[in-house]
Amino acid sequence: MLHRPAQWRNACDMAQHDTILIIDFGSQVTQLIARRVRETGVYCEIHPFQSAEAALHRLSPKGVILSGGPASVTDAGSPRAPAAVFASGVPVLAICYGQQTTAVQLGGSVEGGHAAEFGRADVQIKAPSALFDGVWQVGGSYPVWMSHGDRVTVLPQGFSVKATSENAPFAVASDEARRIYTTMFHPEVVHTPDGAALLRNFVTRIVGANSDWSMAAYRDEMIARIRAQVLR
Amino acid sequence: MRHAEAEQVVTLFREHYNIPLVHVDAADLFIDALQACGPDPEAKRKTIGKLFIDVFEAEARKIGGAEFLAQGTLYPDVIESVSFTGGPSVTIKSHHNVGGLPARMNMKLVEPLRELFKDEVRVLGRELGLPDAFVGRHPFPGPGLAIRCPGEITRDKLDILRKADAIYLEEIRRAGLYDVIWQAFAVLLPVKTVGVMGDGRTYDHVLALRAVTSVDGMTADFYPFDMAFLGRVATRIINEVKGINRVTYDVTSKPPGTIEWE
Repeated sequence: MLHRPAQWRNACDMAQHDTILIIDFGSQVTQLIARRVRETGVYCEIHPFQSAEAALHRLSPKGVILSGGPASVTDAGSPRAPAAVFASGVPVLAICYGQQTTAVQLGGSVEGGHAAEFGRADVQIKAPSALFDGVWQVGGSYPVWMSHGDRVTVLPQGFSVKATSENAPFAVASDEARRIYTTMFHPEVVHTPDGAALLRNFVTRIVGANSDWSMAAYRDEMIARIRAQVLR
Repeated sequence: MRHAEAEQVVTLFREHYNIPLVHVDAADLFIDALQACGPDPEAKRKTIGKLFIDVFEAEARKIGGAEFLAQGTLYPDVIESVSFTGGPSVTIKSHHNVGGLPARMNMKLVEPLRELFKDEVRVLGRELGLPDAFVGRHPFPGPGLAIRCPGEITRDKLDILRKADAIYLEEIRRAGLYDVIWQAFAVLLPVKTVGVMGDGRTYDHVLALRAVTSVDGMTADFYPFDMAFLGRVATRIINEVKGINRVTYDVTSKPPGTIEWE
């Protein structure tokens, strides 16, 4: 129908940049994850969980972020991350629903019916994590933004608790060796004041992505692309 | 279009870009059609969209056809959205392909901003050396002033709105507020109220002023002008624009409101 050349149909030629893949489980704030990542100078793309596996193969991302979402992992047929995400060995940051599906997919468990937690909460830092490096200190207490009903009750093997809150015993849990970090709160919203710094830690320190996403570079690439398309 | 807007765009293309722009003034065509189509917002949008295509097509023929359509599609327009009801399929948002024009005219799309968020586009604009006044321009709806004039459209109402809007924006710029506001505009309401000017009674339109702050347009708060500023704008508009005798300020956030009124 539309004559949209392949290079515009998807951003595959953006894959020359170090890329973060954001897998969307339908959260209202998924776009904010992408905004925070791009602010660190790293290219990222959002893809819905249904087409995430294809995106994973096409983009070969340096890191993956799993978004929140409105479903309950305890429901039959609820969304899952592609198993290839965890098999690929790239660092993973899993937020809210992403944490819950990560727990279930890697052998932990999740229960519904606990006191729901919406809005501001404080997390207490129990153990160091690469995610907090230079941002949060063990023993400290920091404000975050929560929005969840279900919660993880048993962590997968290799994971341990790094931070807790009153209603979230696993506010942050991670497997530092496998570089899988999970948070029950939303680091992408401004109501988590240190959230942008945590995302920056993930993208630049843990993933080690090149901060080469600048509008100066984009300008040159895009002019070349337009020339290639239009001039013959 | 707003006051002097067409001239500004033509100047930008001819003087800064050195692009031989074809500028068509089809105002009569649009206003006649809008007068005929009635007050329904959706009918107004459709009328404008259809006419735009007709005019574009006619002009493109005159220069031997157009092979490419460049448009400013942004990343939020193309992110596939998650659908839980539709099973494993995903929904792709409809594009702002100006009413199917590319398919109808067999044009290829050039969309150099597809990977970018709006604030990234502004950074890119500065990289390209575009004048700040253009890079920082407030968003303006595709259907133009017609959707800031709820109800029936007439040439007179659009003229009144254009004058009032120009005064409002001039005062905002003078107060140094243009760049801290995401979008500011006037809306001419299809409501007349009684007033008194000099020794005479008036029966004229009400104007609503709107100004919002936002980072991305997804959520927005009304801008908290000080009352002296609003009073000054209201006085100027009522004194200088014949046809308006009352000014109000819209203090609705998004959500629950939208930024535009139609």
